[in-house]
Amino acid sequence: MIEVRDLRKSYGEFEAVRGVSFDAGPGGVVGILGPNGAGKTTILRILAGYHGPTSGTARVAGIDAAEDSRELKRRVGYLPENAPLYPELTAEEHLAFAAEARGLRGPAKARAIREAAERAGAAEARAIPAERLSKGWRQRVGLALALLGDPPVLVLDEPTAGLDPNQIRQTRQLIRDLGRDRTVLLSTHILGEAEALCSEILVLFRGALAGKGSPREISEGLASRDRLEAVIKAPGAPEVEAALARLAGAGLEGPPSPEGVGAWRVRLGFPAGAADPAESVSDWAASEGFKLLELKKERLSMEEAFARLTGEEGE
Amino acid sequence: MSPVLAVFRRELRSFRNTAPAYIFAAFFLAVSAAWLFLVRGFFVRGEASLRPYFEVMPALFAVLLPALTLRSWAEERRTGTYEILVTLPLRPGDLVVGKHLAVMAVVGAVLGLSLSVPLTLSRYGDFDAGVLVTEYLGALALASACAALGQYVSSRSRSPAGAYLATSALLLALSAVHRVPAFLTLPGFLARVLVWISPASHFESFVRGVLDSKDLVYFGILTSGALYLSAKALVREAWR
Repeated sequence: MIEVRDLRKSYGEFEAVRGVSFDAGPGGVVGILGPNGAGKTTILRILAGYHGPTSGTARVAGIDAAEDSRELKRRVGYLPENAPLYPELTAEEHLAFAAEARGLRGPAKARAIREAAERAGAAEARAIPAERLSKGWRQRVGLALALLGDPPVLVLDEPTAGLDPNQIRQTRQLIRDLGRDRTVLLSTHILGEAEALCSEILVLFRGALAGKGSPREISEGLASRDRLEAVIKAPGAPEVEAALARLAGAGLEGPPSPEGVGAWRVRLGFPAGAADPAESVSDWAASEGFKLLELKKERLSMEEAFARLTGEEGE
Repeated sequence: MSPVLAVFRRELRSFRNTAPAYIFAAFFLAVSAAWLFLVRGFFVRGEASLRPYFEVMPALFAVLLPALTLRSWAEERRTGTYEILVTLPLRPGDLVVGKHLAVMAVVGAVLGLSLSVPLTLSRYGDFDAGVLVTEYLGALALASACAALGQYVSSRSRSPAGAYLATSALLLALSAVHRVPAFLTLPGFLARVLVWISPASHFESFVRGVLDSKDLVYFGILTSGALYLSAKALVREAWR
């Protein structure tokens, strides 16, 4: 449904998108993940027909963005970042305009407006001017605008930015539902959101694709090591540190911290592909004559994986 | 529904729900009437002619019309709605023409309200209906050219205030440029060019009751040229 090949976009000297290629089939939610300034919005804007690429191709449903931007716009429903609306117009007036711009009239127009408003949960706001709507309601009206006319592809730029937790939950559920019968391409800088919503994640960094795969693949592929947290009964911290030097592959992350009387909490990092680190620690403690009071395995969080992938760890 | 009509209706909804159109109407009607009765002393002159009423219109349009046209693009960019507008399946020409027609609808309505002046005064004198029609036609043609220039400036502006000031300065300069040869000795060709490029000089023919096709062509070229350049500016922005 979406085909992007060697896409590039420059603003003067600055190259915002540098040779990005990906595909998104019909149905499903695909997330573009990246920090601010990674080029997410630029790619979404090209796919929405807002501006043309400098080179490369972006196709939606077989329509090339550079060749027939008007036809492309018929197939794409777009929610810009922060859901901009005309303050003086009601949701109904926004939807009426979008419907008319999409060539709908009469009963078809009324039905499209009703369905989009209901599906996006914006029906209650139809008669209220946008300037009096909260951020959450504005976002719903923006989503209704994107949904109007039932386009096969939805392009959503940071669809949950600025919403409260309850609104985020509702919006995510709506996006999941929408992804069942159309292609949804969304951008986010929150890894947890991509993990919660997307069947596929494209990681973008400084305008280039840094990785792609399922949320699990992204997470696992990037986990260079696992991490354990252990509480060890030992005579003192120096003894623990000395003994840890004999634990193959383990790296001590910070000094042991006291945990009650005669016990020390340590955080250990292991390289990916090592034998089960938990078993190694258990065997090591027994061989050193220490008692293992607690052992907790920490997976790398998506945030950490993202930081590693984008080379921003520790920055 | 045609795309142009969709844009036209949206613009009218915004004009209906916000102050600029009402401010434009109130100032236009009040200042033009004050000019006619207080400054030019209509009753003192004892002449059944509205020429003084129309003579002030180039300056009035120069100051007031930019308040309507600044919204066209600069305001859309400020509020971010530009992104909605240009991602709907509309051609740049649809957007530009729809916006222009909406501004002209407001101007047309205000000029319609101003008809109350000649209608009220008709009991005091015998106005030449033909001249009056020509004067109103000229006012519409002048407004159309000013609105199109205003939209072009707005299409190139980032800030609404900048769009207002630049449009107003441009229109005031164009309204006055035909008077330059009266104050400066210029080569004949240059003097003729300055007179020709000024919308006010072409409008003066209409105010005198002369309907000259050359003036109509001038306003037609100015309007369509400015709208064409506005549409081009949108396309250029998409590909910059």
